[in-house]
Amino acid sequence: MDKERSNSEVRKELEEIAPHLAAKEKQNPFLVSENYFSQLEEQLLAQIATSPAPPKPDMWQEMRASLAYLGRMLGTGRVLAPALIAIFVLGVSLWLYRMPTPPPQALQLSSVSDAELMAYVQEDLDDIDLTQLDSATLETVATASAFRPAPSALSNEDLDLLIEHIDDQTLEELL
Amino acid sequence: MEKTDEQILDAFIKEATREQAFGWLLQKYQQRLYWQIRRMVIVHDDADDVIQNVMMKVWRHLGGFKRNSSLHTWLYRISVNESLAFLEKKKKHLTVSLEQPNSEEEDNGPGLQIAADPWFNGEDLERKLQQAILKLPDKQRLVFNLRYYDEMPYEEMSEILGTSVGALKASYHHAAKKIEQMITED
Repeated sequence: MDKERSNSEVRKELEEIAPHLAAKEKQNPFLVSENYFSQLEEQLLAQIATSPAPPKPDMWQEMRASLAYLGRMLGTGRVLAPALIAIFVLGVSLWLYRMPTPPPQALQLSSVSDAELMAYVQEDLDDIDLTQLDSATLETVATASAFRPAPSALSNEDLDLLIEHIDDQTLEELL
Repeated sequence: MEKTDEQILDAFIKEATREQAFGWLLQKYQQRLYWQIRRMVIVHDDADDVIQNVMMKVWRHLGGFKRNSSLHTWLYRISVNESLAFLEKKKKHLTVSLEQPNSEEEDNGPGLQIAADPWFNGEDLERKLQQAILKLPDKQRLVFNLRYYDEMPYEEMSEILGTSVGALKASYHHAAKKIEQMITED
């Protein structure tokens, strides 16, 4: 459109200043051989293949070109919708991933009342449950026995209990 | 399909696609630039030398192109500068030759070059027009060619030549009137 407007301006301008020249049909009187341009292209491509590589564009230029490219893509709207959707999905995923969530088991237990818990223990525990409960109890006792609080944190009662059960080696380590 | 300038430039900065991008650039611009050069230097062999120099410069410097102007304007600027530099060099050479008596190049002016050029295919009026254009000073001739043949807006010419729009307009009007006078007088 701009080109057409420019061409028409050039014609009008010439008609005003040089009417004979404006009336003359424009032509290119110079000639070249039939395959000149394809030969020129081949010749130039052969020359660049043997000439030293042009200096590599710096990082800033490459970044600017990439940004310009992205800008053009967004500007034309060809990738606008997919890009926005991708950004939105990524943002939501990140938000959900980072949000602290209570452990699922704690949630379940907190929502069970004591009465329901008692009813379950009395009515619904089978042999397997009881076996697991026994082993869990044993494990808890073992853990408690192995527990050795730092000496500074021990109360007098703790200390008495510890001295009753402690072996020499452990006492050495504590000292 | 012809590539856009942006596609050419984006591909050129990547090493893997640089040669391909240069091929696209040649397909898009080599003819336009050749004809601009040819109208300035007239002789095909000279135009061939100049276009090759121009394109090798483009190959070496396109990576540093800042995109402050359009690629088209940048290419024309190189092409115009190379054409003018070539003419300047040729003129100096001719001056030296003319100072030497019995030089064979004495009668080798551009007007006669057109008359003798086997690659010129103009009728009488066209020949007259080309002879008239050749009588213009180089820069005025350049302005006339860019406006008359390439129909280039003054603003773009101003970017290429680094001259004000007013000066370009005055130069073109002056040149067109001179040519008008030369082609109408018997």
